[in-house]
Amino acid sequence: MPGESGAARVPRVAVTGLGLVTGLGLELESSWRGLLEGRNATARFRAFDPTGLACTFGVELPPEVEALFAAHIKPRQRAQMTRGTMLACATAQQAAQHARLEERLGDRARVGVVLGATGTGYAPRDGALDEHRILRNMASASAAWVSLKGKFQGPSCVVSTACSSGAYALHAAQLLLTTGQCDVVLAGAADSAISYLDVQGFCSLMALCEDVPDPALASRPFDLHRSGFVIGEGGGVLVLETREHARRTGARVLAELSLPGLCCEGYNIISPEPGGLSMARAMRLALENAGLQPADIGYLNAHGTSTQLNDLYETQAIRAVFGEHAARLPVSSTKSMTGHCLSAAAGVEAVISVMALVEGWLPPTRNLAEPDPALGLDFIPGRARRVAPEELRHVMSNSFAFGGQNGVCIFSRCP
Amino acid sequence: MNPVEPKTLGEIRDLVLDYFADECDIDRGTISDETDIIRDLEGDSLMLLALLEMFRKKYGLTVELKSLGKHLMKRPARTVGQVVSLTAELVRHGNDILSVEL
Repeated sequence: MPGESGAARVPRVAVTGLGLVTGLGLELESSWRGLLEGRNATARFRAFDPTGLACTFGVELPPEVEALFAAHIKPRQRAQMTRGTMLACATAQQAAQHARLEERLGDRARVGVVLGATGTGYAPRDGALDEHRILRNMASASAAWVSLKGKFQGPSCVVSTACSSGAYALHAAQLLLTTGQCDVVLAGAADSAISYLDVQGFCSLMALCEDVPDPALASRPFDLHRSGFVIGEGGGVLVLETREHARRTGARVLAELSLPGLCCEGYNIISPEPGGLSMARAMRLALENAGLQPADIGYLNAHGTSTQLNDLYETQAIRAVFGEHAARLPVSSTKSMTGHCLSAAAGVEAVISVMALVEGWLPPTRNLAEPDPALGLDFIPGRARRVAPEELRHVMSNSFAFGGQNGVCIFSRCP
Repeated sequence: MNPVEPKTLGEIRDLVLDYFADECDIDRGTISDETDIIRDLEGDSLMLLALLEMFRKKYGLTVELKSLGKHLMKRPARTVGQVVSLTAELVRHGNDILSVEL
């Protein structure tokens, strides 16, 4: 398959629909607008009383999300799902509508679902009987429900690689399409782990930002004073199709996805590998899979968690991979606005990356008041940036995980 | 053994339809005897257990789940009408339902 600079071994697939639910908005348009405005959504937790926790804030979905769930999911089914599973259903439904799937679908046995998730977010605080415990706690629940509600009868599964789960899901989806097992796959991730126990757990890992008087300033990737990530919740789902199916059924092709670059650091369960060596390896694999050179990338949506080590090593990896082009490459971390949506992050940021490509706007890094001089890339501080179409033909989205399971996706403008 | 009185049968039918309408968030008027619980209502087999628990309390049934399970293997209750009939038979025969030729 032709890229500008080489030959990709696995054909690209078409992206024909997007679903996005974040703390900035409950659908694609409002989330995207919030991102371009650099809006804050971080606030004291509403879902539970965080008194006693070192971290008391995060990026929760707007309260109207309950009405969104009620509109899409019947009461009994809601009782059988966790918030994360409901989020997956609502996000996937948006993506399917965006792709006009119902109008175009033929054989539903050719439609697959691959979603990323660490778990379902099932976190009861007491030992009370829950008749739906097994269904709510089933790791495969999100993909099962999305298939069930869409009556999609192709392969359906959840892949789990912590914060890179969505990238691994896109990889699996791409293989289902390019090996002829599916015509269409809904792929991405959704996660909601905003509970007392989960926040307490991340506090124990010393991963969260705890020390700012104003939560709005807490998520500050690449800033000198960054001090941990801000937990978020959300979902990002893409409708992927073979290019042949998209053409034959009259789909609007938004972008193309190359086979993501995946690798494992094999270094540590929490700490990223010093120097970002395997982060760089994942980026190089993605470029190789896409048949592209570093200079072909016009925007990079960074993993950018706002932790000391991730942001340092990721920046070092970007420099190593992109060389001289690194100084010209616009890089931003949208986690500065969405928070870190954990296993949904790669799905959310894949959707954002496609939107950047389609709209020609690069979302900013919020709260970059004092850029860390040790990093020194173009992090698009504060304000969204317009870019000319010829400068933005390919975008990269980085996702790195606890456990060192790295995934990097590249989306390309349609030829 | 006497058949279930028409009044009781009507009561059972009302309770079953109300239950499915409520649980599945659907207008009761759209539910008929032919309505398929899984295909049409997006319901699930656990709903039968919830109904059984409801009827156990209301009619003092002593039916064991194992007996009901065996009965359902022979005569599945997939539609609302079949659930109403099943409930009526349970009220009539109780735990002896397995030994009754329906």
